[in-house]
Amino acid sequence: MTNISRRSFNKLTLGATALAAPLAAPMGFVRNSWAAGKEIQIGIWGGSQGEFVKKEIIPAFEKDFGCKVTPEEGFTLANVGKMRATKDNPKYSVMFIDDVAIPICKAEGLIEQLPKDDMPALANLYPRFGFDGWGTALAISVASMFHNTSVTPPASYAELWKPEYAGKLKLVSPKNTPSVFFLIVAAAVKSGKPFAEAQYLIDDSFDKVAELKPNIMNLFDNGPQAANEIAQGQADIGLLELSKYIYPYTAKGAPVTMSFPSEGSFAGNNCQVLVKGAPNRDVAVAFMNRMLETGVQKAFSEYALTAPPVSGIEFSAETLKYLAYPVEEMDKRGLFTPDWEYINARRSGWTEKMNAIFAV
Amino acid sequence: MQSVEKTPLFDTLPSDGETPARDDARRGTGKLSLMTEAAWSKFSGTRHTGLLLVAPALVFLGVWFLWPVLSMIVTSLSAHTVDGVTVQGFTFENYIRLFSSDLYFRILLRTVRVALLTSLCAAIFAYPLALAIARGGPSLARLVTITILAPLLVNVVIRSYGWQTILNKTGALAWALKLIGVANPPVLLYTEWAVLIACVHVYLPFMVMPLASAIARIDRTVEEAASIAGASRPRVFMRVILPLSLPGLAVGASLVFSLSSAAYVTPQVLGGNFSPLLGTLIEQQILTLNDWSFGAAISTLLIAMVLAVNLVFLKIVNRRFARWTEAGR
Amino acid sequence: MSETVSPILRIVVAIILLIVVAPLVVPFLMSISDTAYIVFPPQGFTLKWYGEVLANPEAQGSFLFSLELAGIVTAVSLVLGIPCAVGLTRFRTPGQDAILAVILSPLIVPLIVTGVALLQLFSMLGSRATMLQMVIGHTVICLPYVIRSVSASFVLVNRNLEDAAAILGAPPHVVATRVIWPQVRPGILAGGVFSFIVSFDDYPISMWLADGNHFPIPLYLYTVIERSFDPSIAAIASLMILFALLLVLVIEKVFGVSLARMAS
Repeated sequence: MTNISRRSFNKLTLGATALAAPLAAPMGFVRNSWAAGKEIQIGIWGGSQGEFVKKEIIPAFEKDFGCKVTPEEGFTLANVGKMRATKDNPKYSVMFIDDVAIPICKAEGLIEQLPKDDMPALANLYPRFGFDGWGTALAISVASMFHNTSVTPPASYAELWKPEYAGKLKLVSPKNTPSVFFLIVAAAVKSGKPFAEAQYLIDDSFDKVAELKPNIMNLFDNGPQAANEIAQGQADIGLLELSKYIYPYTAKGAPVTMSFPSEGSFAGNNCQVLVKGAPNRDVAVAFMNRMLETGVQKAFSEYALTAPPVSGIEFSAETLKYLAYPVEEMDKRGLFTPDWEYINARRSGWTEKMNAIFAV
Repeated sequence: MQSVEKTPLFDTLPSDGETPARDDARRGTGKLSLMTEAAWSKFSGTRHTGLLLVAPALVFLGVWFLWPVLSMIVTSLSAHTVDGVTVQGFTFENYIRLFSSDLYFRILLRTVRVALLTSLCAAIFAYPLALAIARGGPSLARLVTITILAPLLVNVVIRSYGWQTILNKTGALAWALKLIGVANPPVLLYTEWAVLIACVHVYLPFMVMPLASAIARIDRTVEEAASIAGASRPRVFMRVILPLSLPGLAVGASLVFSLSSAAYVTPQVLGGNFSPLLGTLIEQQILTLNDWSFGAAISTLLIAMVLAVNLVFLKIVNRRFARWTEAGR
Repeated sequence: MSETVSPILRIVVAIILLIVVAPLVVPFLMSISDTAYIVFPPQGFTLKWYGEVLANPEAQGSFLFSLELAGIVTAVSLVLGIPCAVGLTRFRTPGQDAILAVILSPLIVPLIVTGVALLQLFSMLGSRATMLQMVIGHTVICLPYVIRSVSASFVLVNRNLEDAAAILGAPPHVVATRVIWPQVRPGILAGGVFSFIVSFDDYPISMWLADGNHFPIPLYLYTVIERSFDPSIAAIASLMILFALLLVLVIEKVFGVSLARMAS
């Protein structure tokens, strides 16, 4: 347990005891003999979130239910791929994916609706994170601009098009979800409309995207690595990454932080879904319920610096610096969740256009 | 030299079991090798033995590689919805899309260019190293072998980070160039050059190893005879070592070409996504866009290209090999 | 026959080796930095990142698993590959062109495609044996290297030596062990080493087939990078380089030959 990020986070907020207490207390007395001896495989994320799930949440759950949970660290799109490849003979029971992929999984029949009655913890879930019962959010981070602390970030995205930023920006690559956020930003800058309307204008905004090319140093795939380069001063500003990748650096004292331009910010929703035909479905549902319980959510959020999707959690002022919580705070910050169904249907064509701009 | 003229698909292995050594036999160095051949056959039976020996590997790859990959490629011909869900039906749509925009053609050309340049540069760097391994003392050979294999064991992300640190605007290369008086050193990071450098770096051993074993098999007395006859070192290299090491070069070049044309992490990290190769596009389709059938279509294009280039390349090498060995007679 | 490597060649080789080593030295330098994130040049000096990595049970588990996997895969690849190479080079096997094409094809299919295709197949077969799946997946991509390397050494076997031995009355098995084996051994070793390395460093196949209990070191490295880009990553890389050096030295000690060098 001598892990790096773990160790440094301890300095920030929590000690091991604070972690263990809320996890162990409420479930200690429950007898769950029905689950004993069963085993499920789940696909989780990497990063500090995955680490926490693996080291804290799963062991406690296994102890309470006498079952075995085998986690595999991955990322959203690979997890969707794994569900698809094993569709006829499901291997995984629960998958952690981003909200962007929920409509895809639904359309392909890879997931099923959650049994509300078997999941008491759903009571505290903010309705907007329920996805019509097709999954729940687990953690919300904010996607926005990040910059080296020695530069003053612009107050509006529109200023990034100025020649003074030539070669000084790092842009997220079309491979990553925040790339869609950037397209919405470009459409908003071009049209002067808010994100909610601009997202439907992306098709007409690629000339604006192309105009930014001289200012782009590179397209990055790996958020933490881009944060590191910005911290080293290789570039001034990074365009759109989730706070969960940037703030861990800020918290460690690296000269990189996030800023929130006037146009608004985006919500990055990490979610869980129930695989259709999941092996040991009952254990899977119990695990998903556990993920939403207040004690688990508090510790998880403090560890990964993300906001919980459930109401009624108290955080310290230090932690609240890094997360948009509760839901009123999200609204105040104008956290925008795009129309993924509309976007997914067009993303392939947009990626082709991005390639045509940046790759030839 | 009919035996080398007939080329197997993309290797230098003589196709019908004949080896260059047997040409020595024809030229009269001895009918003896034909005798051992007979002994071998007696010891081993008929051509069925060959099949029996080949069968396990062949069946293994047939079941665990050919079948799944071919069925994947078949999906590139099957229809799908706009979300990428495969449905019943048959379509050339993916291939039409591939050729209707010049985007994919230009990236195909870049892939060929980078892979060819990588093979060429790798060959240039590999010859001195292979000579050192094959002709140097044990400690030199060991040092070279270990050093060139090391990059392979270092994960591509770490390796790329090392190159980033060297090639960026405050990096070691810019510093060194300034030191020798270059006022405005070019920043290679996030260009095609960076991709090329990193590919040569990591695939170099795939060129060096076959070359080294080919050179090691060259009879030193031939070189010595050439030297004694007054040939300079470069001349010995051009007239003896280069022609006789061509089989090794062919193996190395086809390996390096194939590997670098499917590279996808390096173009992203070091090319800054400004110079993607076909491999990058395949990854994009499969992982980001969930469009496996279009990804499979691009793969088919890549495979066809690699096969074609390997074939052309080996034809050339074999012809030269034939000419050189004849001229050397 | 003493020295055939000229001083000029030595200098050229030294320069190339320096270039090859340069980007690998960078991780070493980064790994000793006493900062919570990666900086170059390093600031301060500490070995704590090595301590953390070496004491981390996950890192240990992944490393040992990768070792085990690469070892098994190399053994399987050699068992399948050597007879195949013999069959291809020493016998008039019918349909040789087609056979070669099949055997070498995994080298030209993008690994990510091979990985997805295999996962689909295993799922269709209802297989839950992750270890077996991973051995199969890695063997698919390692086998061509073994066959190529071993075949090349068989092609280059000097048949005059066989003739000489046969003339002197050596029976075929003696020819095989005393004459052919010493000539092909380096090729077999090289094939084994390549196979081990390819398996040890594979990401695209493992990404699809691995699970939480079978988690090789390249996948682990990616999760660490996603966690945070701090000097412990550089420490892992440095340890992997050290391991590579040890591996090659051990092979040479055990087999008593330099990998690509052959006695004359």
